[in-house]
Amino acid sequence: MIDTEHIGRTFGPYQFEVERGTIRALATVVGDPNPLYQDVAAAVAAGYPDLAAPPTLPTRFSLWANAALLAELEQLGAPLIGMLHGEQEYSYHTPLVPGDRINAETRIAELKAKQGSSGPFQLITLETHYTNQRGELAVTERMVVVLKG
Amino acid sequence: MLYDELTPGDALPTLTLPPVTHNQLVRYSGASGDYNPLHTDPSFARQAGLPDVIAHGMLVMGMLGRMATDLAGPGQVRRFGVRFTGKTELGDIMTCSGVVAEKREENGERRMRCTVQAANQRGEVKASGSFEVAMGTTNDAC
Repeated sequence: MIDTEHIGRTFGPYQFEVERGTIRALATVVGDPNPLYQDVAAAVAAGYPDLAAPPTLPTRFSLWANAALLAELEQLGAPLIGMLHGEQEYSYHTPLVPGDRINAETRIAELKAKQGSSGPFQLITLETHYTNQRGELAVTERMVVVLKG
Repeated sequence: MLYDELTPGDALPTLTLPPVTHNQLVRYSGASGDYNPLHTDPSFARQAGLPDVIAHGMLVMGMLGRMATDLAGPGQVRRFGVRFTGKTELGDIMTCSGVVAEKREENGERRMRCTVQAANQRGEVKASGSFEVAMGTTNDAC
């Protein structure tokens, strides 16, 4: 459990780079054959500056891929083994483009104690702002994670 | 254009994907950077009380994302949110379906909001939510 005194606490900024290889690998494993994720020439012909970003690309920069953030939450009392993804929401403001250097800042927006059939659990809401190298807000993310045990 | 042809209540084309495999989950871990062993290590999953490894929720959200990008293009997605309602297991054959919920104008864009869900071969819903895409500007001729 994470004490509610940590509501409002911020983490980061963490730095990431948008890479073509990540876009290609994510699209392939999801089973999406869209050439805009694979072929730079096709993407440019369609009006994109480089490969297009699939909507779930920011997951590469988010909690599950961020060992430093996971460790910080664990220090606050989150049980890493008992974390389940409850909700995920993105708002897209400026396109992510390969080569972008992204700053991610995460904030604990909410902590709620719940009682389930198998015992108490907690819902943590994390809000993350992804900003590019020009200081433009690229994506805002809201995720709800279930903390058990 | 498509925007004018679709009205609230219309169904989007459904999308059925090949069965989820262990190999796919290993590859998704590598692609996404999510190395939680619950998705890749069967003995770890069993210790956690599961029959086998389970899929990443984000893999299922990625499948659903295609409903938005097939409709409008990757650069046109403005919002996308889902709630995970069940564990996706090995062998699950996921079908993504969606319905047009609303058409409106915002920021000079013609927006379409659709509700979507991903369910397995037994109809068990694993994720549901909605997306909003821009489909041209308000100046586009009808």
